[in-house]
Amino acid sequence: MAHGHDEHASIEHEAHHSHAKLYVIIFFILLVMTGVEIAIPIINKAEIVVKQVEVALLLGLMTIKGAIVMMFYMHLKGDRRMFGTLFVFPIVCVLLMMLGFFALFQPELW
Amino acid sequence: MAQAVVRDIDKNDPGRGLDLRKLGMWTFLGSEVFFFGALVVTHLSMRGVVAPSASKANLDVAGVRNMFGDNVLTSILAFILLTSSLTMVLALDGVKTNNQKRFRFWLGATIACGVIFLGGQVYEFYHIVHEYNVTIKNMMFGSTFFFVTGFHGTHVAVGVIWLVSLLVSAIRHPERYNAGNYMAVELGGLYWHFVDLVWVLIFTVIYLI
Repeated sequence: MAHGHDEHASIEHEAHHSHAKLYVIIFFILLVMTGVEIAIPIINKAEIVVKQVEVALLLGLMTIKGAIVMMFYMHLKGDRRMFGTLFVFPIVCVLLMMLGFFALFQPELW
Repeated sequence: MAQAVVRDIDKNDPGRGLDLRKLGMWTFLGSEVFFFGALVVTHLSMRGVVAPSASKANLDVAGVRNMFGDNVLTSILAFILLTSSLTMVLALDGVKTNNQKRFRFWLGATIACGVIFLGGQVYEFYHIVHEYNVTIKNMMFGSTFFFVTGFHGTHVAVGVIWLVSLLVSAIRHPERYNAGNYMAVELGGLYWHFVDLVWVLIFTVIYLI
């Protein structure tokens, strides 16, 4: 019994500080950004801004949202740099490839 | 020289301070980024392609936009997946703070979000096939669209199975995951957040642009 109590105490000692509040704040930021993303094509149906600006805005918001998820939810912020390099390098390659394909195959968006 | 390097590696710490399970997971996720990236750019290059044969059903970019409309369903799906990312990180927070009840509750909520997302995706596929006659076979848009979104859906399904196994294990062995032993939960969480991250990309590039 005493052993069980010690074990419990050691677990208590190891417990981390909760970041729940931060995660909820991040969620609301992501939620607002998603709302803006959804609203942009609807508002711009009347072509208030040129299509290229709309695409640039959407891609920018997407990149920021992705970066926030990676930094705070996947804990890349504060984790070993090696993990970040392993993950971010392919993302940069894919984003560049995507821009290239937009330019080649969707010239009306470029 | 090579022998000297081998000698320098501590046998008790072959990862040189890096957790090898986590390193493996990040490497896997990095390779998945290339995989999804290739699928998405294939879709980008094909979605506007109109087949030369007039007998084949087809959609140009304007037709695709008309089909998706104001993206009501996919916006709801995006919201659900975003919520699941929050619930997953709260589950990890629960286990890190030794709050088993909170850990299990949020893990269950994440699973529920995943199942709802899958249901929504099945509904969307049904809608597109039956109302717009877009299938994986009859046009390039359909082939690439169903492949990308279906592949993502498969990842969500794998994630749900993974999280269910974690939850069952946590219920059967209440003290298995705690503040000193949460790597299995963290790895499951990394996979789940990756699935959400891919949806952020798919949602913007395929549905909104």
